[in-house]
Amino acid sequence: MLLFFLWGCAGEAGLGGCDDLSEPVAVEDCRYQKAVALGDEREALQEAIDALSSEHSRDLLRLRLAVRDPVRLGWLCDEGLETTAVKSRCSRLLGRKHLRSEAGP
Amino acid sequence: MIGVLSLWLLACGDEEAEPFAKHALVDDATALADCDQALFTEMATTCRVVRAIESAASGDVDAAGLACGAVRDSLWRDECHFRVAEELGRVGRVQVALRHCAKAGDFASDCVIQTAWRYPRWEARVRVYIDGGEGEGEGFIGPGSEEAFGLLMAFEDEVRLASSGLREDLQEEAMDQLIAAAWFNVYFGSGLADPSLARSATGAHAAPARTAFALEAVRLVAAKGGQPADRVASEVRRIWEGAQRPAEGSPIRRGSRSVRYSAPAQAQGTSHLNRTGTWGGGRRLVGVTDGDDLDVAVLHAIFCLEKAPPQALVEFLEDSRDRVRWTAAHLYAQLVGQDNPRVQEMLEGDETILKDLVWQALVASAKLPGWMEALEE
Repeated sequence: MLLFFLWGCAGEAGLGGCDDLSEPVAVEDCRYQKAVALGDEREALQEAIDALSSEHSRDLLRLRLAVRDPVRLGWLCDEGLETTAVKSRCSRLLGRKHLRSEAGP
Repeated sequence: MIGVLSLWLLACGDEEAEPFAKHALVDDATALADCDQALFTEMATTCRVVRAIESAASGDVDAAGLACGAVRDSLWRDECHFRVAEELGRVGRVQVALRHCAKAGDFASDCVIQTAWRYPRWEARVRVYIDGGEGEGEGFIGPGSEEAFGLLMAFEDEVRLASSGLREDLQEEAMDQLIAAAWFNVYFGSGLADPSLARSATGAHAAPARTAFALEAVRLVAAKGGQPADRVASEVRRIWEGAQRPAEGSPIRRGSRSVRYSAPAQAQGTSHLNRTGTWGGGRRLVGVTDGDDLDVAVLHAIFCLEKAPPQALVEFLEDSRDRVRWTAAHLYAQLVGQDNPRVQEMLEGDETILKDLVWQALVASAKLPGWMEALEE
């Protein structure tokens, strides 16, 4: 039985441990902090986000990360978006080239 | 089994997150204060930036400023000022637009260039806002217009005042790009390449005036057809000198005034040479004499207008005037590419600056920056 539970939640391994929290805000923030800790490890981040079962949670996390660091994480706004709200905000605000470039000297 | 499944759902806990996350993504704010209700900092940030853009687009300058001021993240605050400047530039509010560019941090230079080239097309009647919009000058503008010069001078005063809040190095860039865009608006697409207005231009106006005149003159001369490619430049020169009647032709009433874009290039050891703004934030060298400068401007115009063939540049590849030759080589290489024998010859030659410019040309993109494409659609 224990193995069954572990298998069921294994998809959230990268962002795991957040679901124990009772407040939804705290759950999303916990995932966000864990995702931030993954840095710009693209594959790990992608896997961790994909493992979340709610499309809105996935897109919320993508948008928050892209806004936090457009240079390193702006790509999250280009790939795999699922909700109209985030597609629209990404295209309106994060599609600009200068936001994706490192600041000059 | 149902019990086990319920336990599984509870353990993984994402069902509750669905409506919550969906709710967190909704941006139904209609006022800046509504953004304070956003559930996450990043959502509040995007909410405030969007409110700022919308306020600027509707002409509410104060609300736009307040919204940008409320953005806590410094990168997004800079971006907010950049976006507001763009919106204000688009409706000709250059003074207040440049004030926002001054607050745009690392984006200030892009902001200045985009504000300049988003300035509305000067057609038939142009409005120049003086002192933040309290006083306004308005009149007809075009190459043959008597009011044009006065309006351009008023525009220069406006830009000078507005640029004072910018970093010192950007003040010059703002002046040059805005004046270049203003002259572009006077000449390009007007259907009349009358040089008298451009010839009377002095100071900050002189080189941009020649750039704009040359662009329209080359367009009209090339459109006539019938003359060999290498005669385009000499015909434009004769028009400039008054030895031939001003070229006339079809104006560009509607549609794109996009031209081929030449990305700024600077060879090592030439940073001290004067440059002036070209279409879309490009730069060209300024010739030593007025005559040299007209030729450099004509070369740029030939490059920019796709109807003018590369052969029109060939006679200048051996020109004894450095800046004319360098410009011709750089533009010719962009047009014909690395396999061209003349380009190979230049790359194997001894002239360091020329080789550097040719190399830069071979990797340069003539594609117009994306923001300019959107502008002229």
